[in-house]
Amino acid sequence: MKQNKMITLAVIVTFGISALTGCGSKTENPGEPPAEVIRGESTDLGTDSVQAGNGVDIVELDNGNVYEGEILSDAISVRIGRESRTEWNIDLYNNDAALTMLDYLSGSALLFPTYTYDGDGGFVAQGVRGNYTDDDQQTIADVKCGELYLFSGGQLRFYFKDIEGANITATPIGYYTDTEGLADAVQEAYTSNLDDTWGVSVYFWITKTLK
Amino acid sequence: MKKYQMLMKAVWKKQKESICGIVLLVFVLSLCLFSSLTLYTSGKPAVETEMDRLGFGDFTVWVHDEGEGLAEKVDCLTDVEQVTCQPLVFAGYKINGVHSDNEGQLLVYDGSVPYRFITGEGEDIPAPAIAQGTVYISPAMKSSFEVEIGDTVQFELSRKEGIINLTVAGYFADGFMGSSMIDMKSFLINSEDFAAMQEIVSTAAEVDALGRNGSMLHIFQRVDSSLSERDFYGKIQEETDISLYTEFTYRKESLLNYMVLLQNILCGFLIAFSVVLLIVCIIVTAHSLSAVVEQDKKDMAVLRTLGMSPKMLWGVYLSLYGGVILAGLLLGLAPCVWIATGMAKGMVSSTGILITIKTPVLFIFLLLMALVLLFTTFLILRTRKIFTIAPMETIRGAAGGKRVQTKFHRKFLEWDIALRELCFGRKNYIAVILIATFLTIFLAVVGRMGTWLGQHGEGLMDAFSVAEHDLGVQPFNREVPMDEIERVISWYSPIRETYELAMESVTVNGQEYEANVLNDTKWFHVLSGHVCDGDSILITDTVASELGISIGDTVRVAANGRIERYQVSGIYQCANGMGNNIGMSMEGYSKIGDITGYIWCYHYILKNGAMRDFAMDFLQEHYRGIDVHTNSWSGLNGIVLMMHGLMVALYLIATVFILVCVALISGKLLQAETGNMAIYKSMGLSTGRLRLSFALRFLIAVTAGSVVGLLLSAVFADGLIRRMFRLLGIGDFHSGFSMLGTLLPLAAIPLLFFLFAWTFSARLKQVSIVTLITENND
Repeated sequence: MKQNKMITLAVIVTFGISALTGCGSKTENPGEPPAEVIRGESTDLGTDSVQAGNGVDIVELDNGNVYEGEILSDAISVRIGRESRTEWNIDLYNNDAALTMLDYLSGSALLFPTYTYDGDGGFVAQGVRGNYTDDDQQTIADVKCGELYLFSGGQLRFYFKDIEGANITATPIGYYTDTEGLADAVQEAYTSNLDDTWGVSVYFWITKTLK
Repeated sequence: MKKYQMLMKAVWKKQKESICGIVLLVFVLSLCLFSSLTLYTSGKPAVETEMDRLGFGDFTVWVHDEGEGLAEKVDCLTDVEQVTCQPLVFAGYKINGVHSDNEGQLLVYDGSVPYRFITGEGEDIPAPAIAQGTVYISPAMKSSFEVEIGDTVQFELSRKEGIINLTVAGYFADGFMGSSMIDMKSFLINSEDFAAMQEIVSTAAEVDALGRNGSMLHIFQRVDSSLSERDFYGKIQEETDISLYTEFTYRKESLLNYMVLLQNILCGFLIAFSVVLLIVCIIVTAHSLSAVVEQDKKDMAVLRTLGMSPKMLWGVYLSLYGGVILAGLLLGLAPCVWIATGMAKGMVSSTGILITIKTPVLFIFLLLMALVLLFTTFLILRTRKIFTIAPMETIRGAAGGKRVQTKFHRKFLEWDIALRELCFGRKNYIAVILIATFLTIFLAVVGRMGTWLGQHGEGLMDAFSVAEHDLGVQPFNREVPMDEIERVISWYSPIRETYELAMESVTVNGQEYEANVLNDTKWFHVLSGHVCDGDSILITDTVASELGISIGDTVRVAANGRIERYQVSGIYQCANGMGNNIGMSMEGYSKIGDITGYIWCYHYILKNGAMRDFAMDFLQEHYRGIDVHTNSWSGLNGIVLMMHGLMVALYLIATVFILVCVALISGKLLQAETGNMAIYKSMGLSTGRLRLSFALRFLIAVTAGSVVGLLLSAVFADGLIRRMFRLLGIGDFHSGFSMLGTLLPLAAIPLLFFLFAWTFSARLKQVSIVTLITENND
């Protein structure tokens, strides 16, 4: 009888302590991912990706270029220069790269610094964050003023001049809907920013306007 | 006097069981209270003394590159008393296959800084001469890396022949960052190894360098300086180029609070538990005294008729029980330094330093006096009855019992008897109900905290991190293939969500804080107000009270030489840096900081969070130029272990208390109910059924008390814990339903009472019916 009591007591104490300290099961190590997964040759991945825009349109732009795909009209609004108040509208192409960039933006204005200014090449450029594929890359012979391109390695270029015979290979991101006075605006922003303490060439205020 | 002694002897002989029980209760209470108080009061001064001994400044700045030149510049400033420079090498490290989230700081030990060396068990040892190829580490790393003497620590200084293996030779008390709460850790090595490491780092090509040279600048302010701490630091930043080299800065007070945080939490729990034990002690003593006076009433009446005054009788009981309580208190007080020292030694693997225990004599004396006064007042109140005993009526036994009519059912006879006795002597069970209520409240509060803490410390992880995540990857250069890294993570578990976080140093109205910048502000834990945008910021409760600002106020936030005005949009939770941080959107931060640099850490929330450690190990093993971390930190295991250990200890103390309480109360009840028991036995009820019925009474009463306690804890516990946590920088606390927090106290306390009541009722079977009836007639 005494033994039974001790057993009951021991069971209760053991139950209590094990409940207190928690008794979880260990997760098994799945090992290392195969080489094809690391190289990106396997589609056996669990990423939940959202595919936007299934329809494919052929759009002839005002600047004469042709783009196969949907257009996100007035997707973002831009002010060129830190003190500028003039808003420029930008249409974006509905491709993965443009959508990834759009994900970084919100209804609040983002002050985006660009450190590369190439007056002869007619562009300002800056490396951007995010994972981008080269799937939508095109070779463009002549670049028009107001166009935005993403290059391999994540460099985003904004052309503020028409560059004939540019022959670039890049992903088209979007374009300024109005290009009148654009080159002057960039030039003015660049000139007024020459003594910037961070060494920024041109600042842009970027706001997402797409609903 | 002789009469007095004889009487006391007689009372002691009759009541020795209950007196011993009370001594035991008071002893446990006293031991728990004084030990935890001694440890609590010793902690902060001990760590402060250690920091002073090791030369920590009024604030210390960790800088990269050689610090001597900087130290000289700072030393020239008028308000600076002294600047000392302690060279170090920053390097990532790996122990037993586990890569640290933070860089280690390799320090040279040449005796110039008087570090204390200790064993893993917390014993002081003489300072050794550190041999080449060996390293001394903080004992806190024992719990985080399961490291033992003889294991190897792999330091990463350069990609080209710059991985250095050192063997752990022992432990040292790290007065600056030894605690498990601090993820950065120092390592002591000998001067030859240190020079070699400095050489590797300084000669490594930029692309190969993994470690870097640095220094700790301990800056002391002049005693006669009129500048506030904030202005003093601001002046140093303005008048020197220290900010260009600063890795991080800590005020002495901030680091001190970090160092003692864990032991303060532990002591806080024990002190709170001691208060509950004190209440339980008072209830049990009250019940026991009432029963004793009731039992001895007839004897006292006889003595009164023999000419003894009520004052004398009262004096006997008061001095006996008062003496007993004082003895219990003193017995518990005696080993408190020894226990506190043991606790300090046991906590070395969490606190990282050995706390020297110093008894706060005056404080303990005053507390002891307060307790004596409390118990004496209480004893006086409970023994007043002695003055009202009417000798003749008491001897005649004039007082009649109340009639209770209950129906008995054959099937549930034990239950029916239990209910009848409960109704009949309900006054006797109030103490049991109250004890159960108080113990349940406390254990439910502890259980709720356990639920919140989680099996792996998830509660702390969420409270201390800016936003929920399983894995964080911060690339430091353009060469890092983030697309490949994401494919690897996705192979381990599908990625549910991603966002990016940057942690940058800013000043808010001139006070330095860390800004947590998110590209997607929905992940901030907003407690009140609304999430921030490009023109607003979030602040913690700590910042709100420190700066005296609230939602809607406008503040000046500055960084990198730029300043902007922002409105406070809300209060958010992030206990990182004891809550000394603010939340900003990427848009908001872009106005004062460069968002294009490598400041961003990619945070991933996985569908299967259990895979995070495997993914982290793989990434750390195969990719350079990244910092990979989980939501955890290396010292968290130690904290979780300590908390779980504390909960087990509290349940064990509660079990001892319940055991003594049941022993005291059941003894009195059985004595008072001997007549009834005799009658039940004479009616043919077996001892077993009577014992079951007796234990059932406890079960019913305690269950009622526990339910009340559980309801009260459900209503008030979260609020109480929230208040306590706010002091630690944790702004919010919500506990959900769990086996541990909700059901365990409700199940364990009634079960323990039932079990112990059953055990103590064993005396029923040893007494024959005749004896029972005889005792009853007496």
